[in-house]
Order: sequence, then C-alpha cells, then structure tokens
Amino acid sequence: MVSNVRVKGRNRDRLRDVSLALSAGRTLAVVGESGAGKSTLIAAILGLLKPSEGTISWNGAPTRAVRPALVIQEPRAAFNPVLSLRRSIMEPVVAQGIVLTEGRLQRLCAGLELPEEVLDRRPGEVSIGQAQRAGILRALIAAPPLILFDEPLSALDAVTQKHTARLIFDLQKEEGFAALIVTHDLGYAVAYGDQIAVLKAGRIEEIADADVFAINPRSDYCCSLRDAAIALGSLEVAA
Amino acid sequence: MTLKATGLSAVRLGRTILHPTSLEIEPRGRIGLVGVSGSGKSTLGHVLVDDLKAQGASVAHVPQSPAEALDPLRSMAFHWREAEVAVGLVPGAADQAGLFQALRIEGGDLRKRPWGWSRGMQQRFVMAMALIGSPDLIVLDEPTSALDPVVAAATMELLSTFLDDKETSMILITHDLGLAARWVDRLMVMDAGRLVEQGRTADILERPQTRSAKALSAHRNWLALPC
Amino acid sequence: MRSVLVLATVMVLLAGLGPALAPYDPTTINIPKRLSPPGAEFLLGTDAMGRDILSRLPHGARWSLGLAFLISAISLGIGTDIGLVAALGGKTADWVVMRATDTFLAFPELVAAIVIAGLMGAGTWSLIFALSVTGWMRYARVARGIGLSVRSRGYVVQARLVGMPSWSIARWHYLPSLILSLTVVWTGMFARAILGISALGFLGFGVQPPNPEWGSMLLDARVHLRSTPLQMVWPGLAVVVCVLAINLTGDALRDVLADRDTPE
Repeated sequence: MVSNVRVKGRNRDRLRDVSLALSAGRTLAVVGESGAGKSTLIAAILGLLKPSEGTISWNGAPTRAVRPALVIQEPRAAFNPVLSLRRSIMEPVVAQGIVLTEGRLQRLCAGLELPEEVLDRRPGEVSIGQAQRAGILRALIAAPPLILFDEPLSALDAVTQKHTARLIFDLQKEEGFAALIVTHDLGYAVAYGDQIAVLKAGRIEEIADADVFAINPRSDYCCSLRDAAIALGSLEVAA
Repeated sequence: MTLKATGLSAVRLGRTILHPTSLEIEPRGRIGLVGVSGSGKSTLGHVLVDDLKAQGASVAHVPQSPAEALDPLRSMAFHWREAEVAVGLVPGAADQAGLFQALRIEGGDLRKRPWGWSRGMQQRFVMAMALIGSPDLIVLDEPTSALDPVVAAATMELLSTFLDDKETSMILITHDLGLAARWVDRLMVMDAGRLVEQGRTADILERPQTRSAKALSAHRNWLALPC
Repeated sequence: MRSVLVLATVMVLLAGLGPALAPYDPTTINIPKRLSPPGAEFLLGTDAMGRDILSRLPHGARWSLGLAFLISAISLGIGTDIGLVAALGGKTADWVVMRATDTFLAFPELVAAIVIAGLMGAGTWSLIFALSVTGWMRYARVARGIGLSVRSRGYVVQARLVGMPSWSIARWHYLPSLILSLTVVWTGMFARAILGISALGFLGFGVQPPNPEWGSMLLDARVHLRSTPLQMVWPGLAVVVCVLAINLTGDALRDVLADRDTPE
C-alpha cells in the first residue's frame, strides 16, 4: 500500500501525491516514459529511499520487513559475474535462513523452463533470456509476498518477451505473489496487468482496470500512449 | 533504380554468421528485415550497405542509438557540415530547413552539442543527416528501441510521411514483427544467418510458412483491441 | 611477459636461497681484506669492514624485500579499509576520509617518512611505521573508486535487498572486483617501498648495522666512492633490478587484467 507519497528532488518533486494499492495474486502495471518517476517509485517501495511525505507499507508493516524481491531490466547485471547463477539464486535463501521445501527449486526451474544445469554456469555463459529467467527465479525462490519488476522484458526480443511474460503470469497464479510491473510498453501492461497506473512527471495521470483502460483511456496523454503502442505494433486493433 | 545485391555473406571467428544472400530493393520499397537476436539481420544490413556503396549507390545507415552516430564533443552544426561534405555537397547547400521541418526539429539549436537535444530529437537529426543527399536507400537499425513510445511513434510517422513522395527506399531492421508490419509492405525473415522467408507483409502475417516466421507472427503484438 | 616472470622468480629465489649459497658469513668482519677489489676470493669484492659483498647482497634482499612486503601489505590493509569506509559509509564519511587522504597525499611521501622516522628515532620498527603510514593513500583511492562503482551494480542491490549480511556482501561481491586492481597497485607500492627502505637506510634511519640492507650498504660505501666505486654499484644495481622487475610484473599483470575486463 502506497499512500500520498511524495519524494522531493533537487529542482522538482520526483514523486508527488502517489497512492497505489497492491494485493496478493494481482498485478499492477505502472506505465511511464523515462523520467516519469518509475525508478524512484520502485526505490521508495523497496525502502531504499525514504519518502519526504506519505507512507509505504505492506499489511501495516514497513515493506522492507517482508523483503520484497526485485527483477531488474538488465538481466546479466543482476548476477555477480564471477559466481555461478546458482550461488546468486540461493542468496535470499541463505541470507534469510529459509529451509526450502523439497523440490521447490526444481519446480520453479521447470516453471521457468530453465534446465537445472544452466544454474551452474556464470551469467556471461547463458543467453539473455535465460539470465532474465534466472533473475525471476532468484526473486521467487524465497517466496516473497511482493515482487517488483523493473522493465523486466526491455532487454529481450519481441518473441522472448511474450514467452517470458507468460511464464511470469503462470508462476504468479501458482505462487500468489503481488506483482508491480514497471514498463514503458503499454501493450505488455494492458495484456498482463489487472490494473494500470500511468505515471507522468512524478504524478499519477490515470489509474484504472486494464480492460477499461485499453479501450477507453480518459486523459489525452493516455490516448497518445495508446496510439503510440498501436503505431509501434505493441497493440493491434482488431479488424 | 532497383538496387540489387547478390551473394552477400559474412564470417566471424571462423563461423558463418551470414550465408550467401541476394536481395533486390525496388524504388520506394519499404522493407522490413526481421528476426530474433543473433539471426544475422544487423549483419545483413551492414554488408548490404557496404555492397551497395561499392556499386556506387547512395545508401544511408541510421544506427539504433543516436549516441552511436553523434560525437558528444561536436556541435550539431559540425555534424551537419560533415554529413553535407560526405555526400559531396558544399556546406550549406542541403535543404536543411525542409528536412528539419519535415522531421519537426526546426526548433533545435545547432550550436548545441548532441546532449543539449532530447533523445528523440537527436534520432530525428540523425535521420535528417542520413537523408541529406536524397539517398537511394535508408537503412534503419532498430530506430525506435532507444526512444520512449510516444516519441518513437512520432519519429516513424514523420519519417514515413517524408519518404512518401521521395524515391528513397527504406529498410527497417527489427526483432519486432509487429513494429515492422506497421511501416513496411514487404518482409524478409532471417533465421540463423539465412533469409528464410520473404513476401508481402499481409501474406506473412496471415500465412507464415517457416518456423521462425510463425513465431514472429504469433508474437507480433500483446493484444488485439476490440475496436 | 615470460621474461618478466623469470626475472621476478630469480629475484625471489636469490632472496630465499641466496644466504644459504653465500660463500661467507655476511657480518663477519675481516679487516686485513678490507676494500678488496672483485677477484677470485671475493667475487664482488669486500666492503670497508672486509665483509664479502656477494654474501651481503642476498641477505640484504631478505631485509629489503621482506620489509617491503610487510610495509606494502600493512598499507594495503589500511588503505583498503579506509577506501571502503569512504565508499560505503555515506556522504559525510566519504568527505572526511577523502579530505584526510588528500591531506596525506599533499606531503611528499618520502619527506614525510623521513620526518616520522626521524622523530621516532632510527630503527626497523620506526622504518616500518613511517613507510606504512605514508603509503596507504593510493590503495584508499582505488578501493573507494571501485567500491562506489560496485555499490550500484545490480547484484549488490539484490544482495542488500535480500538481507545478506554486510561482511558477506563485502567478501563475495566487493572483494573479487577489488582484488585484481589492488594487486596492480600493490606491485607499484611494493617497488616504492623498496626504494623507501633503501632511501631511509641510506640516510641512516632504517635497518641498523651490522645487518646488511641495500640502503645502508650504499651509505657505508659512499665514503669510499673515490677509491672503490664498484662497492656502491652492487647494492645500487640490486635496488634498480628489483624495482624494475616488480614494476614490469605490475605492468604485465595490468595488461592481463585489461584483456580480461574487456567485454567480448
């Protein structure tokens, strides 16, 4: 739960009066252009940045306490280049002293279509798509109630994007985490978000259910976002 | 004139990354070169540009990010002069006002360096530079991926409109069939260094033959809106 | 690259095995044979006390190389810690630490070391202290720079998010990035330490007689420069070759690292 959050910047507010609600098993897609405040929002929710005003909490406790996980845009950068993927993936488990249930790693690997032997390679030795799925595995392994995805598909090609999005969706159904997906791609947001929040210059321009939003965005800005998504082939208008 | 290139190939580190490929580009042609990453589409783009230049055709290449085309230490005016000289014009001879107006960058300050312009304007400036000598062909390599969607869409729109009444053909290289389908009338599908399928855009969208064309076509967009 | 390795290995072997192979005891005084020219009995001649120079040189290597190793290791430890405190301790800590580093850097290292050694009195311990205290700044700078760049990398952010303990993050995520660059700095500092020890030894602040140390050997020989100039040449040559070997090793190492760091 994010309510009335404001983050001051040097010249202008980086976030202003932002309120969002997240719940288990549901996906909130935050859409915005560069500089809209998407990264600031993520840092604030993760507790890496203290809001100047407002509160951020998860079931009444600070979000930091439930150890939300993060999937970043650049898949390989999420992994220490000199360690095997497996070591990095197990970090949350080791750090939080969790005992994994029998076969959880195998199940998640299967769900992400990651052959287990890939985990013993280093990040430089796997494809970008595999590295990103390993990043998602790392986020899922400790079963956090909240996972933040920061442009999770931007580094992937169009076909891999759709495939990976589907895998995330299926795993969310199984695991029941709340997802906050930050993306510049309205098509992805509309296809997989339950709710869509459009961020512009640090403020929420519009927030609506995905199906309503896709057909009938209210503000001019959101209309231009939708038209751009159509012009770039991210969304298509059925004949 | 119709541009023809035959037997284009490329080898890197002893591995063939582009098998012998021939292609033909008609005047005013709009061609999309699509394929997943590593399929050899960018390589084909580079080899094609070199080959056509060697034949004496005028070809311009617009890279993915304007940062690759613009020296951060030089002013935009400098880049413009260089581009004019490169196509054999006397500095100041090109129709700068017309190109800038067509691509909506007439408000940009040429005395500034690239970083004084927004990314979208930089990319359109690079396109304007590419169009200076009215080339036979302009090759765009993922021209939109470094831009925000609204800016990217506007850029494609302006470029497309500008090319409408010109002889210049266009090749759009991208991993995204959905993007290509919006702006080209012919598609060429690359897979593992080979040109595996080509045809009219609508045909490939509706009846893809090869495995890679089927995958690209099936995943060309996120959603079809019911309106 | 290979010749550099051979040279370095020979130096280390000389320091390690040399004393065992030396024909005479390095501290035995033999006045009748003082200032002998190089010949069959004393290959490199004798010094003013009649001690065999060939026997003294490898013992000197023990002092010079051993002390240089100790000093550069101590300053490596101090510098790395200080640099990481600056990189990870927040803005205030960074400012304070880096200004302190700049202040230390503002003094010429050797002059500062001479002053400190002079104040503490001559002796091996004051030599070690003086050169360590004036030698950590480069390490601190490098460690801070790398620490700052590593801190914002994806995997460090991830490790912090999942609650990995700080020492563990330092061990697994910072150290691998630091260790290579610090080794390169270390080779440079090792060579400087040898020069520093010799310089202080030459000025009489360092290792005290009768222990053979290259700098103090130079000091002893200086008086007889006119009559037996070769006496000064030997320890001087030893210092030069040693420093050169270490610097070349460092350069070779840096080239290897540069190749490794370049993305394919």
